[in-house]
Amino acid sequence: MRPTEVSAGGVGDGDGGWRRLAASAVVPLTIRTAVETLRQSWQALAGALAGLHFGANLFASRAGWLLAGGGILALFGAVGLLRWWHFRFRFDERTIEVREGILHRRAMRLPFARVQNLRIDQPFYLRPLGLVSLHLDGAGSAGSEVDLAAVPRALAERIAEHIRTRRALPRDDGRGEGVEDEASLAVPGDERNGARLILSRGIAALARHGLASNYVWLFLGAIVSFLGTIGGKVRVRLPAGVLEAAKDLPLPLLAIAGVLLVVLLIFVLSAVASVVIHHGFRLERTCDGVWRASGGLLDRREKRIPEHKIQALVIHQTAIGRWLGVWDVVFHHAGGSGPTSERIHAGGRVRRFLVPGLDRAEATRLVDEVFGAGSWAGLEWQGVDRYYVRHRLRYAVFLPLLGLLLALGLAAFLVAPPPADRLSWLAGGMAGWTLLAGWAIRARWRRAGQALAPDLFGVSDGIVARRLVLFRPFKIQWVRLAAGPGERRHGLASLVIALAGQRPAVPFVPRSLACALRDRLVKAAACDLRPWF
Amino acid sequence: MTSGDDAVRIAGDGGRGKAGSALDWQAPASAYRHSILISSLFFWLAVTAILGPSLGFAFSDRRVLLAALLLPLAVGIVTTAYQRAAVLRRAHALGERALFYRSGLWWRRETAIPYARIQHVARAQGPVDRIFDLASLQIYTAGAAQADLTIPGLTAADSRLMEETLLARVEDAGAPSLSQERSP
Repeated sequence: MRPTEVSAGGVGDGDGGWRRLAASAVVPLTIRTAVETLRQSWQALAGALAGLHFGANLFASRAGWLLAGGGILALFGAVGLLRWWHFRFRFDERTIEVREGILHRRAMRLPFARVQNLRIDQPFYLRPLGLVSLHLDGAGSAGSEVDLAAVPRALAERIAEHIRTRRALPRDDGRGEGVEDEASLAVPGDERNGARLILSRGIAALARHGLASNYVWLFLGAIVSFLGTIGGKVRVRLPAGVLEAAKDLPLPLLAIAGVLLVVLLIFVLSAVASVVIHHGFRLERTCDGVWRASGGLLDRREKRIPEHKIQALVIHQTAIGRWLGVWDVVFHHAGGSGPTSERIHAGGRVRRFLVPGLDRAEATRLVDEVFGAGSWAGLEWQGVDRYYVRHRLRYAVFLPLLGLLLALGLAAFLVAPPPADRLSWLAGGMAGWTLLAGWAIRARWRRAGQALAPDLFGVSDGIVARRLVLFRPFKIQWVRLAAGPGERRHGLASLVIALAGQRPAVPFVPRSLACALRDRLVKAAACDLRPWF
Repeated sequence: MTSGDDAVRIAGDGGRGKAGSALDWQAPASAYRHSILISSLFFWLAVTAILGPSLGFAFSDRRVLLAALLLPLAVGIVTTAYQRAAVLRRAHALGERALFYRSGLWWRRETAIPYARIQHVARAQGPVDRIFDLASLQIYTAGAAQADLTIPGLTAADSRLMEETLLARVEDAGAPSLSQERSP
């Protein structure tokens, strides 16, 4: 694969077409080094500075501050310089290749066909030199796969043009800072007139979603945190007669009334929050296959996902939702494996959206809308092996309790036996833990399972709540079979399925079935030519 | 390398025995075990060098100093032996449709990445790897923010060859163009 001259006006071709960044790239590389160090090792840096402060009394004088600041800057600058020195890149018709790293060296090759986004930035310090930074994003990592920190604008635009040609990206006529091709956001013919309403949510449904959703726990945390403050203020402002009357009531009754009041308040707030956030919720599908969700009372938002970019549908029912018969459905787009903030707004791109407050019939109808009529009914759910319960009990109950008993025995032998009243508490705690863990493990065993239909795969999980992940088999990224000694002894294996943004797992199924499922998923990903992303 | 429908062939017995032999499993380079030994040696020496004197001086007790020196040594010997034994289980194979990798001594794992889902590959070389002319290959898909699979213990030449082979297979598997993506 010989590098070819796609470019003009290089920064200096080296051997084999390898190029170096312009010398001014030392500045962004130094800044990047500082930011990465502060982000990843701030504890170590703080510890070192504290050590210098307390050990050498370094920060007692201005000279000490200057010395420490200058030393840190010089260190970052030296690392930036070394990073620049070791950074090389080259490209040919199909790929761009990067070599970098000081101690730990890395050579990476990104096919142009895999570039999802490209961005050209021009920081202020590169403007006088006519240089820009070129960032190329694939779908394979959280940040940019390739960052060319300082290259001539002509070269960056040549590369960008070449990638556009390879990928048929829409041309962006903008020039200068923040030029961005959001290739993955390009939505074909998104006309509102062609949209079909799939479902809308009224206030009652949204309130039910609020009662069943996790907002409840958020409000619970917030209220408990400020309970003391609120209690103090309420007590001060209550009329003296009320306080006198309350004194005559029995304490347990007061406590129960207080708890009920707080619980009621939490649920009311949660329902109101849900109505405010999702007010007027509408889910539509355009004739060219774009799903669009809109809603919100104060801040009306609209999110869109082209159908072929949907990686999975997650159907979720919380513990309270089971009682109220409320389901939520979440559409997942690629790239949702990072923190929540990244999942929702990674690079400004919508990663998922929620369809709140559905009943079972609506949820199944929505599944059929996304995956085709009869999809839900076609799923044949299969549970996991009963050995799962024994295995989990062994690790969650038997071994911890055995360890505790051994530790107690050792302590009694070496020091003194614990008092009898403590022993009864300990025995009660152990019995309680055994019952609780046993119940949770059995509940999870009953929930866990998988289902395969001709063009749909489902994974079920949960303890009290329930979570179903549904996806088309060809959407998988990779599949892993895993088996511990116990599983191998019983001819079992666990199947981990990586999707873009989800990683459902099917534990403890017969190994032959796990292999058959793995093979079918791999075959679908390799042979199904439908676009996955 | 294998030909034919390897995914179906290995289904029968999960990649072992007769069906598993359909895949040409490649073990890590023999120098990889030495590399593990040297890496572990450096790591546990560093731990011992930091832990031993610190605890010894803090407690001013020769027995504590001895324990702080011997404990990392014992842990280091056990973990290094385990890691070296685990190398025997590690292997990769290029199937017709997917890259396979197996690992794990106690908890065993077999990963299959279809070529059509590989986003990019990278080669990495640490300081100890360079001593033994080794490299690891990192495979990225859209499934995670970090590398989805790292194949360590390849010789530098093999890693380059495998990178070329993988990229060629990725190309053959067909990276769908955006125009294809836009017509569901």
